Amino acid sequence: METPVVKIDNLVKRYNDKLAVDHFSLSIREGEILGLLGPNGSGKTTTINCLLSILKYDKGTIEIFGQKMAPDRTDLKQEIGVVMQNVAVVDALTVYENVDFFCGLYIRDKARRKDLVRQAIEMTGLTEYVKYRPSKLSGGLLRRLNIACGIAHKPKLIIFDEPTVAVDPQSRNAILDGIRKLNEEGATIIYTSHYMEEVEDLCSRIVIMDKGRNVASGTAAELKASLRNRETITVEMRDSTEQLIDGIRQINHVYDVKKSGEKLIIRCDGGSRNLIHILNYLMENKVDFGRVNSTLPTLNDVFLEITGKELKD
Amino acid sequence: MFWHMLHYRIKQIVRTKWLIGWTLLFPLILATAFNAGFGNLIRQDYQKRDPVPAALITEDDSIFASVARSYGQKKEKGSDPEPLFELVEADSLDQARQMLKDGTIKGIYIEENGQDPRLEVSENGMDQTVLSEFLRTYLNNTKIINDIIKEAGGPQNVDFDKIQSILSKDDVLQQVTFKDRPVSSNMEYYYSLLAMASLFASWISSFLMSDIIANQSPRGLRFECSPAGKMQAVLTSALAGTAVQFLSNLLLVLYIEKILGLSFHVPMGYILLVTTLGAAVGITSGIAISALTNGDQKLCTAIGLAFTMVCSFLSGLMVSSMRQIVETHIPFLNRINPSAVMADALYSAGTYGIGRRYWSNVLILVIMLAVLTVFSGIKLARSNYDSI
Repeated sequence: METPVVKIDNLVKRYNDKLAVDHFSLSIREGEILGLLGPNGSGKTTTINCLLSILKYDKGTIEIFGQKMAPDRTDLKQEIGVVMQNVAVVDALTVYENVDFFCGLYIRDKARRKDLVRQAIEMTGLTEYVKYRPSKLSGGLLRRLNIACGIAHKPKLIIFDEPTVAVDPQSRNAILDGIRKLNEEGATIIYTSHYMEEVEDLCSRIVIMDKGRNVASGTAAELKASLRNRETITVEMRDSTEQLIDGIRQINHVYDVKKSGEKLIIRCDGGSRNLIHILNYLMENKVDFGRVNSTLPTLNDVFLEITGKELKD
Repeated sequence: MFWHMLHYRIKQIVRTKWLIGWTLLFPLILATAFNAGFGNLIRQDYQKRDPVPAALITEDDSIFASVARSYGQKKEKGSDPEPLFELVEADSLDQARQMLKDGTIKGIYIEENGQDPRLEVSENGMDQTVLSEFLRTYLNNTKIINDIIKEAGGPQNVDFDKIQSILSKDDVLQQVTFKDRPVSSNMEYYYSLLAMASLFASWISSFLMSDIIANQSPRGLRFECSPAGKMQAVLTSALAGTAVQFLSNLLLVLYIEKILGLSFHVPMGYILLVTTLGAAVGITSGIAISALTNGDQKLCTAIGLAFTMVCSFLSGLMVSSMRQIVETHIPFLNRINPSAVMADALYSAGTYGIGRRYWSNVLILVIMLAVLTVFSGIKLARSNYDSI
């Protein structure tokens, strides 16, 4: 059986009386992009810091590449790249010097380091900014520099802790493309975020965290498939009678119809032609209606169904 | 990796404007301000005083006349010991008073009608103080001799050679120079300034430590995720800080001596030995403060500033006599205050030359350095954190 790149078993971490990570377990296979999704304060960063042996934890075991992780495991740290939530660069050094400085903490050979630094700068699109100081970079470029500093030494495991917070869409796309490229080159990636679209778009597997617990895991499709609600159809109409609502409820796959102001919110638990069936019913009954909208479930719906609250709360 | 980190640490310090501002420019500005305030006083103190002209109006055969003439005999300039006053001929008291009025002489010793001699002056000042001090010393000695005679039961029982030795001019008053190093009390400001500049190195290390300790900055967090050794990083930071502070101190000393023209009267190497050790103490203090403040950068800066300024104040940065006041009342404080230890090392070297007192102070700085290094090492050796 293949040794997992990361194996967290029954991790518990308390800050005084507050339980930050609650018996959390996780296994990551080589080559995966694992998304750790959860609202702010759900324990994602604490879990990462425990994984890196920066934080002491109360209970549980953590293994990386099949070996127990500890603060003095420099051999394991050598193979890990970390891109922190907060930008961690040296203000007094230029872009090139920053990447070289952090890469030099891992790679001693100057010639090899020079090549790796060049590659990291190219990959993050910072070539034309190598002589700039961080204070002269925009927020997006600063985030890219933060990434270049974390990945220049070509680690086998890279941890991205909310790398796109406060980043413009263009830089965000560049960052996500870069992460995909790193994965294609063989790196296993842990990606924490509270942006569900990013996680859904990027990650091969997703773990949803809430209150320090692993509340659900699987691919985006698997997680959504676990929901009863597969499609939500919203119909604008001024006058909706109880008779009409009852009629809609009788349509195949419709399991819930609610009136919300001048809208009817219709939830379906399957089927691929729900919208057509509903529109036909409305026209047959000569009901006046305005705009109609159909939405497929998101990870937020998964989170909502599991925890009873929005992911963005 | 050692050279890699050292290289970037030095770059980081040199390019951080506020750090260079405080550690180099601020002491230079303060040195200039001190020069504007006390520079002339210090330069005047450096110059040997010419003998003060005075007249003597007395009975020819009096003991005081004999002593005063013997002491105030005109000598070649530069003779050793050079008298503090010289007697100028005056035929009468009126003539002497006229000379006093027109400034030819600074005072008149008058001995009339068998009474104790007295001094007549027309104004107060250093010259008059010198003349007064001579008279005071004479009167003191006269009283001692009279007491000896009285105690012996009469002059016939007294060893007059001893009395003669008491009245010997060499024992009365003479201008003293300390191995050709004229001392100015105002140089205390500059000793303290050099000490303060050295201790400012604590800011350098506090600043650099935030890049190494995970709970102090995102950079510290990133660093602790890397395989680089924490102690190696601390060592390279300390060396980089000490090297930069060494150059900063060198520039400050050169500025004071070559540009402002004020001499410490201590060979450059000995000044730099003390200030570099002081900088190393400052650096390790900064490391210890960082290790103690658990990631609170504001607290770290506040403690570093308070530490430097309190130490500098107690060593005489604001009041030149402060070190002496502390020495009188709480001498132990001067032994544990690195700024006072540095100031005393420079003062003693400038006044008495390189001797035991200088080396004792150097030893104290070395001990401080060792204690702070061990303490910081123990505090930083811990492996991970309860919270970040």
